[in-house]
Amino acid sequence: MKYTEKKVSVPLCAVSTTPGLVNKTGSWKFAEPLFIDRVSPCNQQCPAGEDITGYMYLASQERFEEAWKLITEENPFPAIMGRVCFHTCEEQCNRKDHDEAVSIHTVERFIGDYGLSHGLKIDVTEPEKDKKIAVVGAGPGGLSAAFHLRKRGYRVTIFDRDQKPGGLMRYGIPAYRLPKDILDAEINRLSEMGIEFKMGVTIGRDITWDALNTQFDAIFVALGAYEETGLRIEGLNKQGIFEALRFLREINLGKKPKIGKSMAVIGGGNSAIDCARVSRRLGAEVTVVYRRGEEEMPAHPEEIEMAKEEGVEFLFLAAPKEVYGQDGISGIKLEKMALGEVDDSGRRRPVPTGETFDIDCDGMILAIGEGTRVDDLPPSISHKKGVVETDQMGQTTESTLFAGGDIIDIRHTVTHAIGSGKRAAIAIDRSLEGLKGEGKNLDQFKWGDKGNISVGRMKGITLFLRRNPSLEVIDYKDMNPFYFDHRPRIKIDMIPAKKRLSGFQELITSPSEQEAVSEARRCFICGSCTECGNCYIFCPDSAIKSDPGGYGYIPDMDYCKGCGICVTECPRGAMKMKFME
Amino acid sequence: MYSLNQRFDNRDIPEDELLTSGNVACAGCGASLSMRLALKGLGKPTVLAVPACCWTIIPGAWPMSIMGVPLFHCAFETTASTISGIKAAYRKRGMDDICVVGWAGDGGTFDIGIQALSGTAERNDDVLYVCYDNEAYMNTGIQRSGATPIGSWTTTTPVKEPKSEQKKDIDAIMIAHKIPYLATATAAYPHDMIAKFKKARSIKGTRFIHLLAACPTGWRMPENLSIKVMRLAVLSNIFPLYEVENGETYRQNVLPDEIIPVDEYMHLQGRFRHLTSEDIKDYQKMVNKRFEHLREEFEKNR
Repeated sequence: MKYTEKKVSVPLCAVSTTPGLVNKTGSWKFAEPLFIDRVSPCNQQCPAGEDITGYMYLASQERFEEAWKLITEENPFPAIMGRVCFHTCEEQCNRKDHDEAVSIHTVERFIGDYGLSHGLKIDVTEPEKDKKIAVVGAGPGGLSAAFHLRKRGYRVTIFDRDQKPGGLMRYGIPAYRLPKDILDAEINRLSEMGIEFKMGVTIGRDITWDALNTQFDAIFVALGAYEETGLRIEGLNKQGIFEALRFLREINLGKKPKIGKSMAVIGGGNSAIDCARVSRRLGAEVTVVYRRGEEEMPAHPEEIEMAKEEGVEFLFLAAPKEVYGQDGISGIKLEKMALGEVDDSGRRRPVPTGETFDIDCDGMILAIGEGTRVDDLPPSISHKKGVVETDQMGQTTESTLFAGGDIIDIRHTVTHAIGSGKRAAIAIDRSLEGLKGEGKNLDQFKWGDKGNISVGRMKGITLFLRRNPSLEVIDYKDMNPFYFDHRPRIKIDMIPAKKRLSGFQELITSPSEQEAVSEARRCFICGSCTECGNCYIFCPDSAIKSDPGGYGYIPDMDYCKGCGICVTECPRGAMKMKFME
Repeated sequence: MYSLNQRFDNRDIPEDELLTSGNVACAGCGASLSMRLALKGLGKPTVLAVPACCWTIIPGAWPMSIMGVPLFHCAFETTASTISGIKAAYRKRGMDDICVVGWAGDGGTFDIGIQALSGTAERNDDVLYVCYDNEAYMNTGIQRSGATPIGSWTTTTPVKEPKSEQKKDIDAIMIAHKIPYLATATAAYPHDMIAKFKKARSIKGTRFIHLLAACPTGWRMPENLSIKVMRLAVLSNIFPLYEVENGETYRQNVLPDEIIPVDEYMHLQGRFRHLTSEDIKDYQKMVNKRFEHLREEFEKNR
């Protein structure tokens, strides 16, 4: 084209006509961004293996029904959990390094209550199977195993020697922490799923273990730990001395055991605190006697705090030596203790000093610890001092016999028992499906190396999409905290201490919907993409595109230069750079 | 986009892209991102004029271009007069709704283009002038400019003799022209930046937007830190985000939760690595003094 031949009013200039897309700048990079789903520390910590970040995400969008369904993929009892679980997840919360940990249990409690008030049900979507499973023990471990097995389509029968199901949740935990109507409603959902309850049956007496073994394809045993660990001191035969779990059982059956006016509770665990607080409600002055210091107490700090508010006295570094009195107890001789070296439990060991002193009391509750009653266990089971030997999934040395809850080597909490029941249900399912020996493959479905197995991860459920799931646990320093403002943790509404002592009504009031949503919105949702769009907004190369799969973003490797801005600006560490070979 | 549990609501960010992938800027370039976000704010119809600067190169070599709007390459010192001319031509043709934007680097604004810019501002021509400031002549090889901060290394102010002059206060110069709108912005605060471009488009007369645009190559830092460094410049008051209307009404748009020491901004960048703690203290004093002056202006408007 000759310039002189063209009739134009302005001189021609060079005009670009080719799209810049021909420049495949992606060839410059030596590292590429990857979307990766990391495990939040709360999810790893949860003994029941709940998807906490998942339901926080849903709750913050007010999608409560989906949040409830997500919890019940892992744990049958959201409303119970939100009340009695000691929420160790909150101790691991990344937000504690930012301002204050998220009050996870408050949100879970709201979701649980939402499920109850809206009558949400569990659908058994798996086809019915003809295999039958017996669950012995209707405590949290047994109920959890039964729930997960029934969801997989098995025919499940639960046996328990008590008249009502719930185990320790019913006969151990006082009503001011877990109201009985909540417990009944949550367990009722299990019978509606088609789980058969045979109450008042003691296996080994009414039915033999052998008979059970021939009638059922697999047995899950979760008998619990009810036997008070013995205290070897003089004078324990006197009247007015109670064992913690027997005492709590009486209370939970609605009876009023005759206790003294001045009670001593021996022990530092949660049962000790329960006994002390119950005794206060029965009108006694209470002193908790513990052989180590307050920091070494295994009881939950929040429980200790509430006990103090209710007027429970504490006597630390003291161990009982002798009980005084004629027929009934009149006092205890105590020995002063000192703290020595750190022992196996990670706490400092109490060392006797030889110095003794006396306290007066007219009643005593022993809450030193609970063990399994060995005689109740199936005769073929292999155990060491009442602790049943199992593999990490709960399978005992007998191939059809599985165990969980307080009789195996886990911490004695409701949540740990529920987690063990879930693991065993998965193991039973796999064993009956003939997948034995592939247990190791399940590691990829754990919440991190130390976490429990997640049913959601196994199923790949899409309520909250987790792409490229990994076992890496996300740390606060791998996040970009600038994108989170500072907001205080929700204040829990509690009945004032003076009003509490008049009865067994629940202490903590449930949060309102608004409070629960606002608390859920404090969650960082660490490690998972929430489609916040930072990666997309900050890409200098317009190389982050919406995923055509429908959720989140994908890097366009044809143009990504590998600068890593998206990874640095991802608020929650859901991306990482991968160096190319 | 969801902006769940997060400080900014990213759903406000327009999803229209007026430029495509395939730009040839260095990895992590603050200037290429600035253009992308600016065009999200401006939308169409928009016409750009670009003098000699990084952005001459970034859209791609002829005959390639990543632009979804017309971009006119002009001579180094003529950005402002070029856009004045383009605007006049469009007005004559009855196309007054076209937003004409001059997009120049700090060298083409602070030093070489200042005469034309001053003329345009004095005539109050109806154009938007954007200076993306990466604090040196980056495109030609990191030579010192009037925008280079004191103490900084460049290839012409080596470590043994770093720049001994203060950064020219271009904002004060432009405010003194009493133009209808002046704003500072940075891509680290995309919401603020997009809002300012939208606002600038809606105003008649000469508008000036001063962008801080990180240059990983010239600032001697890893590419992934571009946004972080721009953010720290705001949080340390080195580059406060504000706007001034008619040369008198000042408004600070981003108030940091907490002012951080300048050191946090400087130690990430190799161009400041040779500075002693004494130098940094002096720099801090200078930043404080300048911000104190701005604060007085902000408070007048309160």
